[in-house]
Amino acid sequence: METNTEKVKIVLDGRECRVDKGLTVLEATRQNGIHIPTLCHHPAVSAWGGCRMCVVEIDGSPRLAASCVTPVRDGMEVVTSNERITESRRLILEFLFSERNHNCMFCSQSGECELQDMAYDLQMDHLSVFSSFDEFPVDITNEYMGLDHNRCILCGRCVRACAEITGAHVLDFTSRGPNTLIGFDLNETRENSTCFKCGVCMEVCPTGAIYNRLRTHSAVTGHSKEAWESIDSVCPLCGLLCPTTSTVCDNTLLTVESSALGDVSRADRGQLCRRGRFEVLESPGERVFDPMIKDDAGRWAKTDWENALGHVAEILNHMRDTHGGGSIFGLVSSMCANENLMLFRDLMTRAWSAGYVDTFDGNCWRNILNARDKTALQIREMSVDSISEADFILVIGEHAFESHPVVPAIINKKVLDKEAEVAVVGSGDFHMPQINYRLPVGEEDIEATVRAMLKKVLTLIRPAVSSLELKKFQAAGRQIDSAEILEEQGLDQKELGDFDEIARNFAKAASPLVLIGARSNGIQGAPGLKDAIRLAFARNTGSGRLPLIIFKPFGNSAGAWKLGAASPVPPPAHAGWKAGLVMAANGETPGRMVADNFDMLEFLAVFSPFFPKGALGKKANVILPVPLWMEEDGSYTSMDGREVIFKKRVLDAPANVKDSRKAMIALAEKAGVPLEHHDLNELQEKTRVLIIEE
Amino acid sequence: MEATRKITIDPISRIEGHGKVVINLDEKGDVKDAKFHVTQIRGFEKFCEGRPFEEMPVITQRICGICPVSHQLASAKACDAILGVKIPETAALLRELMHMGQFIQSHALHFFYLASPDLLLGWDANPAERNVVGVVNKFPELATKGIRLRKFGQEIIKALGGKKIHPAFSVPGGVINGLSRAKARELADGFEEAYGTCRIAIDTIGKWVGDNLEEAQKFANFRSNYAGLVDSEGRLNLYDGQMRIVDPDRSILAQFDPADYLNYIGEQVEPWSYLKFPFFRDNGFPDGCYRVGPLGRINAVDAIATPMANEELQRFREKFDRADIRGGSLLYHYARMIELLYCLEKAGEILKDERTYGSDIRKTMHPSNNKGVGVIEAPRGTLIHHYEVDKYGALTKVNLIVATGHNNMAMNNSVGLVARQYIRNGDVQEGILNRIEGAIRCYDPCLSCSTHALGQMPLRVEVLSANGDLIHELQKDPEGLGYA
Amino acid sequence: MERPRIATVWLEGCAGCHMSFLDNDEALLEILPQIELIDSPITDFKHFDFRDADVGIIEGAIGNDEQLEIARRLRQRCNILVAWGDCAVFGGINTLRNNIATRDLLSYCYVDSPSTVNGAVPDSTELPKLLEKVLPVNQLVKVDVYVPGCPPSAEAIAYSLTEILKGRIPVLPGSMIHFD
Repeated sequence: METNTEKVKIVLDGRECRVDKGLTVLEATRQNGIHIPTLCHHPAVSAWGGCRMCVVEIDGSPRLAASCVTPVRDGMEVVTSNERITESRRLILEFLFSERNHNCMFCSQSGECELQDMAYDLQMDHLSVFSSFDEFPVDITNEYMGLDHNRCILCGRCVRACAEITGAHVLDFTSRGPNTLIGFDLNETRENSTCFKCGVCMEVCPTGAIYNRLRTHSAVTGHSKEAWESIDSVCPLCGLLCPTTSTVCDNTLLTVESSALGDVSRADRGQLCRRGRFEVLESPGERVFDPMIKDDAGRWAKTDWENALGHVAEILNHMRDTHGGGSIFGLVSSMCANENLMLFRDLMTRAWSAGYVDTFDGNCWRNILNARDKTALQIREMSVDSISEADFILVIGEHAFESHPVVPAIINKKVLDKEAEVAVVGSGDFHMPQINYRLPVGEEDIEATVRAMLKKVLTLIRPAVSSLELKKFQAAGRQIDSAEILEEQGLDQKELGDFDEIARNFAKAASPLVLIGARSNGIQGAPGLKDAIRLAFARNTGSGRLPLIIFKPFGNSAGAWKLGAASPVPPPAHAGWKAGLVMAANGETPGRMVADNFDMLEFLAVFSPFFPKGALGKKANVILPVPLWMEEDGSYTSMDGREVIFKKRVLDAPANVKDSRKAMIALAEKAGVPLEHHDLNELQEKTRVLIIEE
Repeated sequence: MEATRKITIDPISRIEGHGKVVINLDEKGDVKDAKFHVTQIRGFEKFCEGRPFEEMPVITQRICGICPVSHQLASAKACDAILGVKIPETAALLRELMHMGQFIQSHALHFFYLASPDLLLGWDANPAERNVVGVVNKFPELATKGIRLRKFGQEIIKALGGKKIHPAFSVPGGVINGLSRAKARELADGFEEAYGTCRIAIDTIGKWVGDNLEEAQKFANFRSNYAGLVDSEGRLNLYDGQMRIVDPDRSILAQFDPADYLNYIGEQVEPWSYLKFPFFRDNGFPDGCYRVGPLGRINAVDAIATPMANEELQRFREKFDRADIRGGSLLYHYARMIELLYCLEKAGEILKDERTYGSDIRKTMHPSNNKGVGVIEAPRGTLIHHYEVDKYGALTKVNLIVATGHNNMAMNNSVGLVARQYIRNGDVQEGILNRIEGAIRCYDPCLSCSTHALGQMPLRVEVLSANGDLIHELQKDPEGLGYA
Repeated sequence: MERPRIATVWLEGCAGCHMSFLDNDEALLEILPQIELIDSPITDFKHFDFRDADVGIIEGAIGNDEQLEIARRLRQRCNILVAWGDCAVFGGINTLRNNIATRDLLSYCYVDSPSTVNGAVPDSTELPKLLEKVLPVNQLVKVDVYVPGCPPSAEAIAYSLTEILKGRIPVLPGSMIHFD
């Protein structure tokens, strides 16, 4: 990008260069292809100048300067490497190694360590200073990350990342001198601290001090990193669809890291969460490698695809012919890609005229439909990025963001940076210590509290676009004392004061935003959803989008709902289902209303990467093994339903596991009703059109 | 005139470790007692406390540079038990394949580098030449074959773990990486030559024992129990299975899940050695002496699952499965080569198995048990890793019983027998001292393993007087006569 | 250097470095004739005398009084002292015991460990005494050549020997240095 930034002239290792004014010497050298070793420096966080590895000689001065914090100056002469500089760097390295017990030979990060790389580069084949061998503590109270202080060089990258990227400020230096340690909340274990285990500290750690306990020793000498493949994709575990870089070796997923770490243009500054970074590395269940049929004794027996598909098609056809399509149901996970969702819907309706097709999270969709009907409002939501612009955020719901751990981090940071005020109606989000107001009402009182809030707000404003309904509330609100209602919810005097303040601030904010947590629009119902939508509508700008984000339970819930995979009506109480076909992606279990209908079931087939558990496992007669989400390409729909994002496959599926689309197409063929679309691109385009044009 | 003497051999060389022998003579110059001291302890059992369990496979393999794979596997198995997980089939096959590589290299190392000087050059050969260099000079072709056989084993380890010594491969729940078919093909090319060399070794040792039957019968031959892992059909299994202990006549005394080892095995401490003395609890100490390692296993199993090795086993049994020779320590060398053949066959089988190339190589999960015991047959015998962890997976207790430990009593018995046989009236000669070392060398003791606890074991023979004064300390020199 | 007399010793370590030396495989057949091994765990000489040694090689750290004595004697009698492996160079994995009192270490291993019966700490005078801390060789005697690694690769070991044979004091290139 061409900018008009002022340039300065400097001399780098005898070569004259013109560089932007305001750069550091380190940045200037890197732009000019000169390598300077660094340890405490990391591009995603601010410069610190702590480790002195990046020292250079400036204008022949006898004192070496840290290039990462020295700004360029016109006419400056910089020498980046000579004997004196190398000696200084090697001595610093030796001090770092001798100060603690790095023990590379059993370090889980050996081979992936910047400190070690530097020692090799500088030919540090021994220590000329004596090691103390003093022992430092190890914190492995968290199941995902270990912190071995023996390997810590106190570079402070983790401290800065924890503060600057996540806004958590959990990590900081404790004690002094050689006893200095990185501490959680000053002096806690990781598990007992307010750390929310996002792992950003681990991602920036240059040594093995903070390491991933699930993936150790992958780069030890002999394991060539050249065989590693980095694949950019997105994480579909929640609707945020965060951009990721997955590192894969021999078809084993080694790490998931952010592909946008420290990107200040993003609301989340490129952070990932515990789920996307660690849970993806775990084995969530027992994998199915071959089609399985349950024998009479209830044991699973291997079979081939031909047989399994033939069996499923035959029975479902038979049920349709004998009892009619109404006896057959279909259930699909909203973790699935758009293409899979559409194929599943088509397969169920075309092949067997299934009486009922739904998603595991169909209830949440019906909550929204219900709210839409009741409020008579068009519910068009904002994107997650709009959190960046908001100056007042009203969060509705208990445990609002359990499934979206990055959201509270974004909010915390905004509050700390004084960019927004945040109020939470509900309790439980321990990850948002920084919020300004909290009305700690229980789940059962959220409905009434939001209603009161709506009425209160409506006494304060005149909506840009109003509705008859709102006017009704407005009129009602003038007569009712909301404080009275609130006392019934058990709020104390201070909280009542907060309530008024929240209403006032929400009413007058330039960019208010209502966030509805996934739990508040849950399988069990959606307390306060309707009034929260009305609240957002009260502050709508007439742009067509409500200042509202409804968080959804699965990574592709928005796509599933838009593609009609979820049923608009709940499952009937006595549906009389005889047979069913389920597509699970990540060990989902059906809600009670669906499972209650399993009693009469004579046949159940399940597409799943894992042996199904609970009611599904008990009832299933056939398992058709499909890939994990990371073993399949597919497109996902952003949570606001406005964008389609392609998720790239990062691993190969096991040999006898069939691509889910191919499996569905093959099953349709067996059933004698071939499906039209076959090709991924075609499917992708078709679903994209369906999703975007609405 | 010297009425009594103490003889010390220090270090016992060509064994992998640190030890010495002290022989006490009585007034007549006959052997009063002979002790094999292990003189080093390193403290792994204590210093691992507090470490995260996931590091243990990589820490504990540093116990030994000769059988690091065995330690890593026993450790990984203990960690699997802590996770409460059954590892994927592919991972188990790959681990076993690496283990076979370990056996091939270790058995080849022992036979060709360490034991062959005695067998090929003779007990009484010039000590200056009685080593692998001497074998290289005198039998260059055989030496080259031996070198290449060991290399073949190391290459298997490297193909999986990336390097030959202290590879990172087995982790809790499985292994780090799979095996590519290209690498497997490269390995497959090496079998023909390996089988050839193994055959030569078996024939050599078979002939040697045949030619020296009397020596084999007399040399450190004693009655003891034998122990090793067996599969569900009582056959040799080096990677997994139940632990079986048989009596001197090969009748089964006990067969148990190795996780219950504490009920069957105790360890006695003697003030003069850093290596403890495991014994079979039912028999008590010192009667519960049992032998592990090649001869222990060969005597404990009913059969071998692979055809060629089983045939060799039958041939071996026809000749030596007799009460008067079964306990002869020199048979260790023979048994070792039968096992080597089994390992080649087993490695070949695994490479041919389609499941070896699966992509499911690791189960990733969190600890669900606070205790885990991992047991495996290391080249030198049964290896037990027993860990206890807190709820986060930090080690709270570590107990290790290594192969050489199990054989400690047997080695001491052997030393005593040989010393009594060859030292009479104070007449001590270098070749005889070498026989004492040779007795120890039969067991291929890995003293880096046994000193996981701490300490060093150079082997030294000291001659002590009846009142305990050191009279002679054995000094060997290249010129010939060993002691001053 | 014409057929240098080389003594190799194995102190507080695991034999992995000696094994890595053997991993030179067929190349051993070229290296061995060029040197004269006077003391080594792989030969039968047992003096620990090191008379007229040109090159001394130490694998392992120093953890007991006997090892200290051996290291001092070897240093005294050889011209070039080489440290093989992380234990000799840095102290290595053995140093994990450096913050544990030897008393506690011994009493766990010989009294408290679960399989021990009638335990007592071995105290025979035949047994060397532990030093309070395990130390790298260069904290106790001067070292001339360092070959770190756990173990150092066969190539690194061969390289350092070959350089010595050519009369040079080798410093490993970065590509041959590793600590794991």
